[in-house]
Amino acid sequence: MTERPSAPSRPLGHVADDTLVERVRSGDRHALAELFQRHRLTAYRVAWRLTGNEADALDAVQEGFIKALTGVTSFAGRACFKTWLLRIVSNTALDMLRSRRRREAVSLFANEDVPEPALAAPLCDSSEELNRAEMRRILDEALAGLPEVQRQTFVLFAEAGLRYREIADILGVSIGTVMSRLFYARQRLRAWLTEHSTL
Amino acid sequence: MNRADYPSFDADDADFDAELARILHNTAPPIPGPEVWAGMLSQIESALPPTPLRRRSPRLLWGLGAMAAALALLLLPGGFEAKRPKPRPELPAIAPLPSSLEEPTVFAVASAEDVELLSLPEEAVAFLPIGRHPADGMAFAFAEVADVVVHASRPDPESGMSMAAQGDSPTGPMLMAPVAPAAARP
Repeated sequence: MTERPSAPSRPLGHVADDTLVERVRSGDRHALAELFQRHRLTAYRVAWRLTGNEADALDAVQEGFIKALTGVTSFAGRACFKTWLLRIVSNTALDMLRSRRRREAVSLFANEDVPEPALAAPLCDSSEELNRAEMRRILDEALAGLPEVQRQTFVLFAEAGLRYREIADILGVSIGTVMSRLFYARQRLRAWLTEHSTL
Repeated sequence: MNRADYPSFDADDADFDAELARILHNTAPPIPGPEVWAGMLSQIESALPPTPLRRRSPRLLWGLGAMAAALALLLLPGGFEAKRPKPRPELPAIAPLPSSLEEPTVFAVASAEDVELLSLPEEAVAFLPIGRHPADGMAFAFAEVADVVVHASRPDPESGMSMAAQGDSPTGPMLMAPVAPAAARP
């Protein structure tokens, strides 16, 4: 029987998010570190699925935390910190995506005659990695093909694991709208993934 | 409530969801290293207000206020005597405009005739307002963040965006309001 490694000491591990937020507002940097540790990965996964790249996702997470914590007066009593944060992160990620598309459109317009460069081969060290990279590319394309509201709803549901009620609060829509968006997102994703032989 | 409550959700959908979960798991994004997170935490720390936003207890504030009032009554000459209300000083009719509004900057605004849509991505159609906006031909004053105090707001049911979502950040939303009809546009 192997010995389990001891968990890192986290004295704030059992403190509720709301309490941590209050402490952050009082200047408690340990509370900030704990809050960051708790939610950074979920926020990153959501931002990554929406932007499709690491740099933009990290920017969205950082900006999301700053906005969420400097705008805590708006947050107070409205929702739990996680949903508040994911709302800001996902909106920020979509803003970044729109900006990037605008830049790319302008760049493409300015360089219409320049042939599109060949895609660099992914740096994979095994066929499994290659398959994974290919599957990720297909999924990215499938997600990119969804209307923005469906994509945001789907990512919050599937990647962040939020419940319908939480997503409805984040997006400011009814639960029925969340379900409807998920339904159509699922339909489109299924069609796309089936067409591209991922299923 | 769970996903199975949706009337169109059947076993086939459940299979697809399971398959989708597997794909999501297999295509999870690469997780940045600890040094990336540490750098980000440091950036967040430095972006937060340096002085703690400590909230004072309302009870304490009331207590301090009551003590100050009692002290003022004792120290002011004739503090206990009833006083006739003084006539209020006359307020200026119009407060002077902030310097930034004294010489408004004129922006050229495109009219409907200036714009021709050649194509539109499908996903943008839902966000394309059609028709003339209600303040056509009017001048607008642009308020700065410090000019606006938001007491309440509601999320837009369609976009899900709420003004309060921007919080008190200096990069918060810009509010616009029509100030007067303008006879001539720039």
